[in-house]
Amino acid sequence: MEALLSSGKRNARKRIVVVIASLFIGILLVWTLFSNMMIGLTLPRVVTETPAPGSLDFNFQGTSSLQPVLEVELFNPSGEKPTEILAREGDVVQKGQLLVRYDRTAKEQQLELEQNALKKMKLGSKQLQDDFKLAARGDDAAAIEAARNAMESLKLDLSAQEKRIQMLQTELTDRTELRAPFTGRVTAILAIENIPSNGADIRLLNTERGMQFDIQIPAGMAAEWTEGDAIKVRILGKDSRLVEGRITKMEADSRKESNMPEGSDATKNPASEERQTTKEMVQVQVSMHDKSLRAGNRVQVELTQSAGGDTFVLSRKAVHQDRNGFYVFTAQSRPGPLGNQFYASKNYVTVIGEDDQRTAIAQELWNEDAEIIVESSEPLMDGQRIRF
Amino acid sequence: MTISRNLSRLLLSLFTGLVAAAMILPILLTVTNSLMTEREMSFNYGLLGVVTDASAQAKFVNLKLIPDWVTLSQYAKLLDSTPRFLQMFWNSIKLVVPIVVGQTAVATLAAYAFARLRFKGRNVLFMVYLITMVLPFQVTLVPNYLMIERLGLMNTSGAVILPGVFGVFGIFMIRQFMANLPYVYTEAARMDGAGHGRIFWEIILPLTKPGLAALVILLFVDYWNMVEQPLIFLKEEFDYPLSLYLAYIQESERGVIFAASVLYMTPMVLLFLYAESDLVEGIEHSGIKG
Repeated sequence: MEALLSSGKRNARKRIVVVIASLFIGILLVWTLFSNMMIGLTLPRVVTETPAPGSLDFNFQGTSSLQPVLEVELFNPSGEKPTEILAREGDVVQKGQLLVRYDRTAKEQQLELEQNALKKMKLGSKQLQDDFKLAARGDDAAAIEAARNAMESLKLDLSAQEKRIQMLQTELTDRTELRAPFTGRVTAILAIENIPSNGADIRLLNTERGMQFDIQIPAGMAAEWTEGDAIKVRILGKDSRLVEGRITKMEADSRKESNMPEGSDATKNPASEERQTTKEMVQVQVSMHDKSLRAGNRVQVELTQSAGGDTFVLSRKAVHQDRNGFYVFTAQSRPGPLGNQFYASKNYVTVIGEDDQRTAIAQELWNEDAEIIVESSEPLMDGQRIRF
Repeated sequence: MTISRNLSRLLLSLFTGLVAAAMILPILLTVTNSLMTEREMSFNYGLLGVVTDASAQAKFVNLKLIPDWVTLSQYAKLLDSTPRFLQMFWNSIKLVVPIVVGQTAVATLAAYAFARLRFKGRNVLFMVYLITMVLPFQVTLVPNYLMIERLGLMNTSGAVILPGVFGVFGIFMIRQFMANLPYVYTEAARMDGAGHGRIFWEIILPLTKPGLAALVILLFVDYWNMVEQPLIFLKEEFDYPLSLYLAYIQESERGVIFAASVLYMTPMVLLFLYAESDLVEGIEHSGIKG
């Protein structure tokens, strides 16, 4: 009986021990899972991407307007009203070609007057010669001298008058006509027939020198260019086509292009930690010699550049910069007490090139298995634990 | 005569009581201190282990048993902020349970052969087993290490489990237990046509149950406390069992030490409480003293 009681007590105690042991193991098991989850919730959440091997093609599109290299305004040379306009707007004219004729009447009348005055002076000259011959026969030296002086004076007057007439004739020839100073195209007719003009009468474009435009190009893309190089330019419009242009001038632009929108403040949202970069720009002048081009035509320059050969391409957001250079955070896995744990690891990289969305980095520096952190809920530090 | 017997019994009781108290006191201190606050512990122990002139009283610590304010904060801190503890606890379970199960199975079969089968060289082989049992771990360390490396088990759980499974102690203990079992049961079974398999499974194994229970407890305690094997055969700290945990606790975390110690000994205490009677019986019949 006593043995039975003892056995009963022992079994009861065993049951209690089993319950306690189960509770103990159960609590530890639940705590194991719970504590891991709780620790995980406090970690910064990250989004990663796998770097893709490849090259990054940089595209640039810029538009501008064509301007003539040399365009001059031709002024009325005489101040007379135009009587005949021989050129029309758009005409291609050769050097020396007559463009406008001006009223000659006033100049012709003046020339006639001057010529009459010359004839009159020549008639007076014969009289003076006779007076000198008469004085020379006498002994009055003073009279002889006076007659000689009078004759010499008239000669001078005659010479001056002849020159005046010659000038008037030249004016009549040159200043009553407007001729093209160079081969070109008439871009504007400003003169109106029979109405005196004070300003320019004709605007003439030098077609030999062609058209030109200025455009800003990222310095990286223009690095291999030199003045005199040819580039393809697209003429925009109905008959869009490619025309070859030639670089005539390159100079660094003091302005820099920033990727940050105006008024934005990076410190407002430290989690975004977007890298602010400025692009060096180059001012490039391109001349074009296609005869069909017109001033004001819209032109477009399209450039494509490939960044390196062996590169990894990743999101631009993943690349950060500090005073030591460019770096990315990678998610690295290490065995932890309760399974694998992930840490952010800072890796400096060589940036080969970038556009607005993507960045190409050197491949030789890279571990292909690494996951690159693109975004994180909090600013990250090297060695910090993270979660996905 | 009766007075002198009573007096000697009293003295013996006092002596054993003192010994028991000396053995229980550290465990009691561990449990009660795990329920104290860190502040109270600092007050009790001062700057223990730190040489300073300013705290002369730190030479004598205040072994306080009853906490001023009972708190489970040390346990919460241990379980919440030190996931290593939990990981090492499960590492211990992963190592010890296969060893105990494996060695019990191997030992039972081997012990049956040594105790009940008659074959040439049996006693010599058993003597060789006994010799390997008395050799300390350090002596067999190098050959063990080389063999585990050749097997490609280095830095894996198998490096600890496999030598444990084929431990000698279990064979010796169960063999002693089986040798004391009466032969009449097996003879009767044999006369009824039972083979070795049936005799082992249906006669010997049920009778060996107390011995197996004792073996399980002793093995569990032995391997739960192992230090050398994981230190030598496991290189990754994440694979270490709980027996190596105290090395990772800093001195400033005294409360955590006590809490960790309590949780560390809990499985052993529970196992002992569950199979206490079997342990006593098993040790009695096997002739082994703990």
